[in-house]
Amino acid sequence: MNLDDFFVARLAGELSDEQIAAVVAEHPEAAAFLDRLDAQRAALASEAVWAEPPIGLEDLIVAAVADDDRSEVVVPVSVDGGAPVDHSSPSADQSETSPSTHPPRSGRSGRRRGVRRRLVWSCASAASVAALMALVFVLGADQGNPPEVRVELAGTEHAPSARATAALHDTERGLRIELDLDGLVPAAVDHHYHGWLLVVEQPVSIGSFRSGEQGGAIVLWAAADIDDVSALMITLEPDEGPGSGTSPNVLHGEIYKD
Amino acid sequence: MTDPTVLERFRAGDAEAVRSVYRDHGRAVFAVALSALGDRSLAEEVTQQTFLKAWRAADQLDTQREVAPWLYTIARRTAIDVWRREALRTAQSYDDPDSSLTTHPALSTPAPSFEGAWDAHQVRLAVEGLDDDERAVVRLAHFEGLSHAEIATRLDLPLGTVKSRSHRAHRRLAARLAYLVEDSS
Repeated sequence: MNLDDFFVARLAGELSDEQIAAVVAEHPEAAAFLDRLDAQRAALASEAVWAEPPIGLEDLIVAAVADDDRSEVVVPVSVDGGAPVDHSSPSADQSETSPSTHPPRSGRSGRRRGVRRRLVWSCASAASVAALMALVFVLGADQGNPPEVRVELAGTEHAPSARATAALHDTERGLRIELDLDGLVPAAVDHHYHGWLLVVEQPVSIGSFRSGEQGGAIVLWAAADIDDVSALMITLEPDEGPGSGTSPNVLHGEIYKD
Repeated sequence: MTDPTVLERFRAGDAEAVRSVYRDHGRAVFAVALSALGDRSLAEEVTQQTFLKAWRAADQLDTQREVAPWLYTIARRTAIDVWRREALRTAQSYDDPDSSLTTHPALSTPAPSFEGAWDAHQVRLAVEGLDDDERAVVRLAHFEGLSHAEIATRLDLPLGTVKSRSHRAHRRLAARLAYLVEDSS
């Protein structure tokens, strides 16, 4: 067996210890390759090599660089929304970067710029979540600000002491969701929290986070039309799962529009 | 691997060139982050930050050289930054007398390990170079630990087809990864 064939067979895991020893006896230099080949085999068996990043991450990155003037310093900020370690340039816009599985939209500039301030009634959902009380304001763009919807989220039976306020901003990059949590304990080991919007009766992922007690707003993004959003919910998901929006809700708030 | 003209566009500020670079290297960057941090959501963040940092540092890119090691270096540093931030938050939470971390230690942040990150990066790139049918066989063999017979059953293929695909795939992988083996000697 020549060394090329040895590489292939070892990588494929097709050689017994005796066969390896025979090759090393014939080609002593092969002994130096064994650790590296084993490392490659270990990589082939690892989740890291086979895990797929979220489909929407590509569009999110392209949108982010398209919106970037290349002069800003990247400040890593997680969806937890806490203070970044690097304090060199913690501007608000730079702090908005957060993973999302949905791309922002484009071509929406000024679409709802003329929306006037109005108060939308609040109401409890009759059927879905008993603890739910959603107080919703749709704030217009009187001074050129993008429209904003505020939602109060109540804890469900899985997190009765938790509550949150969410502000949904319709921006040119997509729907920006600022989530201010209160009383939500950090997720248990191997679990994380996941945000969802209910858009035309379908759950749309807006990103995940691990803790609710670090303070500061969590910023999430979605590629949804604000007019189509009817509810915002936070679920507790296992880390290993793909996330489907069907895990138990811990927070839930509905958006009522007139 | 990535067309130098794409890298020229990337360097010149064509945002759509980022899409091409991401398609060639996004999975490998994600593999580095996931290998190092072991957390999918953090790996997503590292991947996003890596490409944004690369975009902002594109004037340092030598378009005549392979871009993968450059992206790996950025990803590695970004993973460390993200880990430091998470570790800081965990420490702050433990200092908080009202913290519930003692009963909910989900925010424990083990130090990132880059021991297998380079191999994960290079192997992922090599896997990307396989045909889809070859990649499926390799995945089932290594990640799911199936035998050739089990793969044949799973994919509803003749055993001989699975063996030939596996051999062809591993030969291509070995050729792609040979320089790593030779470097180690």
